[in-house]
Amino acid sequence: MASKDELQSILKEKYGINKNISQELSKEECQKILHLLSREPSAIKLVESFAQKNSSLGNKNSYYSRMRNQAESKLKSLKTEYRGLEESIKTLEKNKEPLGARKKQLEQEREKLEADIQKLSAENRDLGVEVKTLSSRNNELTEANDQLKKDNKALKNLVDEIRLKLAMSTKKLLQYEDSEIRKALIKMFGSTLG
Amino acid sequence: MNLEGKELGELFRLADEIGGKRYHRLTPQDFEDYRRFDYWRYVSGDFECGTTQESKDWVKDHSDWDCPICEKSYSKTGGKTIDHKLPRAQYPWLSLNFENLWVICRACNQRKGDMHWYEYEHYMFTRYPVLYLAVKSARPSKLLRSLNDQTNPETIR
Ligand SMILES: [Zn+2]
Repeated sequence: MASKDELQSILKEKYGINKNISQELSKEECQKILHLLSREPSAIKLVESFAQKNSSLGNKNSYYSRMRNQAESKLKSLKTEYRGLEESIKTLEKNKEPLGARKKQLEQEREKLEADIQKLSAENRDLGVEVKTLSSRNNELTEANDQLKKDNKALKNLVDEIRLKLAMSTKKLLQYEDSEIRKALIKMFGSTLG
Repeated sequence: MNLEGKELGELFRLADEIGGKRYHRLTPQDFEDYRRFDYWRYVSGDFECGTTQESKDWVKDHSDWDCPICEKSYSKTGGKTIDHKLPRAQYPWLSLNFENLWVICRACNQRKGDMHWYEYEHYMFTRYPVLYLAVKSARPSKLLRSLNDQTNPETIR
């Protein structure tokens, strides 16, 4: 006599009735079904249709379950990502404050440097003007000096020339034989005679 | 300065004193001008007429056998020397102006010393009247006139 399990195996092999479905039946009921199926082709048709439907539902189920698992893990990773973004935003906001202060400071420094540059270039202009003035004054002094040294020598030569001419005239006059005039001339121009 | 009541001799002495004064200390430019003559004359050594070919050639082209003042042979009066008619210590800007240079004998050069031109003419007229005409004919009239120009000194730069 066959066991329930053996009967279930026959049901599976011959008619495609899965063991988890035939499990609900008792051993006698399994025998009765096998007997019924051996005599009734329409019953076989019905059973085969159920089995087919069952298998397709099983496939669909496992497909949906896979999809659900995928969606769940996707949700999980999105949530993690979202939390990460939130953290980042928080950090960024926190960093924004000192950056703003630094930016302000840099701006101030830039303004100060610009002011310094303006001041230096103004000073540079002033110095340029001063150098120009000094060099033109120096030129004036050099010209005055050149003129002075010439004037000084011109004066010296003029006086010497007068003295030379006096000496010549005196010498001519001394050729005359008037002793009084001679004495007076010598007294007057003695210094020019050398 | 009170000139009233001064004797002529005293006036001349004053004029000498003023005219003989340097206008002030030699400026660096004056000194440079003064030295130009040395650069022209010497490469090295210390020969009266210079050691450069240029100065030697110049002396050769501007001298004879005899000194133009005393007319004696150079060989008997100590040799040729280059003299500045207007002394370069007093007229540094004419230091290398060739119109201011002439070749005379050593004896005449020593006698002339650092005298200004008319001072020298006067000296020669009273002491060596025979030689005066030779001196007078060498008078650097153009340079003396240039002292009255209101333009820059005749410096060769
Ligand atoms: Zn001589």
